Amino acid sequence: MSDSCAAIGEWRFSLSVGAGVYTNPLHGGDNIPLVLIPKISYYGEKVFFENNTLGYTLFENDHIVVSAVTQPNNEKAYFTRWHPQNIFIESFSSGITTDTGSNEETQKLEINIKDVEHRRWAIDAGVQFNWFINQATDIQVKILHDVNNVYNGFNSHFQLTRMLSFKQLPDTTLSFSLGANINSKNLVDYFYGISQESDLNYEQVYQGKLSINPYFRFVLMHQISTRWSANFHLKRLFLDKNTFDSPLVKDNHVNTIFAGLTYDF
Amino acid sequence: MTSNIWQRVIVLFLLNGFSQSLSASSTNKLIIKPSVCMVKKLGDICQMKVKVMWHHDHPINACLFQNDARLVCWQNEHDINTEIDISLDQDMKFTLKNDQQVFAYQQIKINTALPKKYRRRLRADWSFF
Repeated sequence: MSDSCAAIGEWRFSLSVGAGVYTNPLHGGDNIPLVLIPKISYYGEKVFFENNTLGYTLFENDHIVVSAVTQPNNEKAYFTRWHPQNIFIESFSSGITTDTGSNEETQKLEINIKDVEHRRWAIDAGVQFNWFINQATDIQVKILHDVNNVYNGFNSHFQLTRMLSFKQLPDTTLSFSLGANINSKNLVDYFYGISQESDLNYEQVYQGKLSINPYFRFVLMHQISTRWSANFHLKRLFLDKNTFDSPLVKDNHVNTIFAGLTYDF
Repeated sequence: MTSNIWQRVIVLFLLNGFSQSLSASSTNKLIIKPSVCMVKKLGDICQMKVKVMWHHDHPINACLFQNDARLVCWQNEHDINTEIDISLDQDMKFTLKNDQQVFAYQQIKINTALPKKYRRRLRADWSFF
């Protein structure tokens, strides 16, 4: 079955085993090791559930799909203590995230995430547009707002994906994406802002502003057999100055690197 | 005299036809009916009673196999017409054979009542990917 299609009414489950890291750009934030990555999906006639996204398709034709979706907001992940004792991952990843900040003309105030007020998980809901331009190219746009009164703002995502396959390398596909996450002022302010009211120890107040965080992404996939595949993921997200200027932020980018084997159940 | 010739022609014609039908039935033949099983959706197990018929020129020892699994064996038989229960969840080959040779085979197919429908995936990977 082609990976771009899902059988209606069937659950699909896969597990990837490998090594990788999702870096944390915040002072005191843990890099997140990627070792076991489960993936789950279900597509009904209208409803779909895939990993952390629940959706309902409102309109669909050969090229355009419009869906209502809900998913947890990812920003909180940076503020969560994932693996405090994972020394290997911390030392490994600290080596690849050191190129920012040192050349800044003015020394940036550094605030550790442990010293600021707890950030809550936000649940977003909104609209997702998928435009399948041709077999190899598609655009996805999401516009979301939090629904549990956490940051009271918007975020949106834009992603252009191009799939490439090679005659010389059968069963191998490379997908390349360019995208951007756009976070509203309220979102940036809730997660990255420092206010005198809530974080009383700090004199310097930082107020978040609208941020456009662009990224690129490579995914290389080689199908070994019907159930086994080998995968390599690389994503680099660049944080907007309006986010990076926050005293909480150490790096101006976030990396996701993962290489592993996937078994489709 | 003429009528005698015609009688011989008719007898020869009938004998010829008879021997032809005899030779058709004497070839190695395996018939399993029905040869298609309907299931609601792909992956469902089909269980059904099938009629198994086979004929051979002379008595043989042979077994009926479902892919590699042995279902039933016969000793010193040349004409079988029986019923057996089978179960399968995909197209399978039924073979009449013994250690020395394969006599005949037949495919039993699975058909789904509801054809599988697909829709486009909407690329909802984990956010960090």
